[in-house]
Amino acid sequence: MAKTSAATPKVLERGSPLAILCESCVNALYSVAVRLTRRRDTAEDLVQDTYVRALRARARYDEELGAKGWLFAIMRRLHLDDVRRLRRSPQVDSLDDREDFVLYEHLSRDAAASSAEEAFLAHYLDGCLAATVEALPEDLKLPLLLSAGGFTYREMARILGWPVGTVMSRLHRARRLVQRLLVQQCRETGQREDGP
Amino acid sequence: MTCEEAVARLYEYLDRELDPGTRRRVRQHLARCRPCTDKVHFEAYFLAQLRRCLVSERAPASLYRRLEALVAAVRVK
Ligand SMILES: [Zn+2]
Repeated sequence: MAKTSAATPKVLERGSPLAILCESCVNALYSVAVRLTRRRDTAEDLVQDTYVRALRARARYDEELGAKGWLFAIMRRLHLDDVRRLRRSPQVDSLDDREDFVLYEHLSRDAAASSAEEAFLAHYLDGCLAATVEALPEDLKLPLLLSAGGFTYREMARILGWPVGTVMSRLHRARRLVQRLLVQQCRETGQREDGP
Repeated sequence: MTCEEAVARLYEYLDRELDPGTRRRVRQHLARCRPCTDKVHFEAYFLAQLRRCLVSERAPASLYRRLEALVAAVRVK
């Protein structure tokens, strides 16, 4: 992999196989695929299928998206096809996520912690965050993952095929919902611990 | 800019998606508002944790072998 990892998307010649196999693309695609599929073996398959599709369609490479964005756009389509076929999208839409900054408010009330950040570390970073994101519906999970991958609102709009305003509202909603679900889990855990 | 307005732009601010004028006004508000500054710090921390947790996987060697085989097949053609 050492030789190909030196290739950058900048020098991409009409979707040259070398450039789209750059190391940063593969790791980013695999990371997102793990969260989308929730299984490492399925994630590997999804990334491989993405490359099969990309290599086959490399004449239609989207220069404006760049190699990474183009690969994510392909992976997103393949994943949504799988979801539709298997009908396994989670349903958390009924949850009320309108309240802002619930996690911050919740943690700020924790008198034992010297700061909200430390309280967050203490309570939630043992795998909770990943599991919570994985359980989101696809329309919220996708912008959250792409944003974590460093894409701008405009780039996400192009990858997802949504207007920029939709990307923004779903991304912000996803973040609020993750916080809300974490608080909910925390309350449930607390209740269990305090229980008889 | 009021607290409500600043908080409404908080994620756009942290995502560096605001136009320079609005960004400057949010900054000016934060410079004199401790509660909003605390919120921004926490949300920045939360977003950093999301990044760390969501995009830190390293693709396994088995996947690289599969991809290299694909690319090799294309080059042969
Ligand atoms: Zn304020």
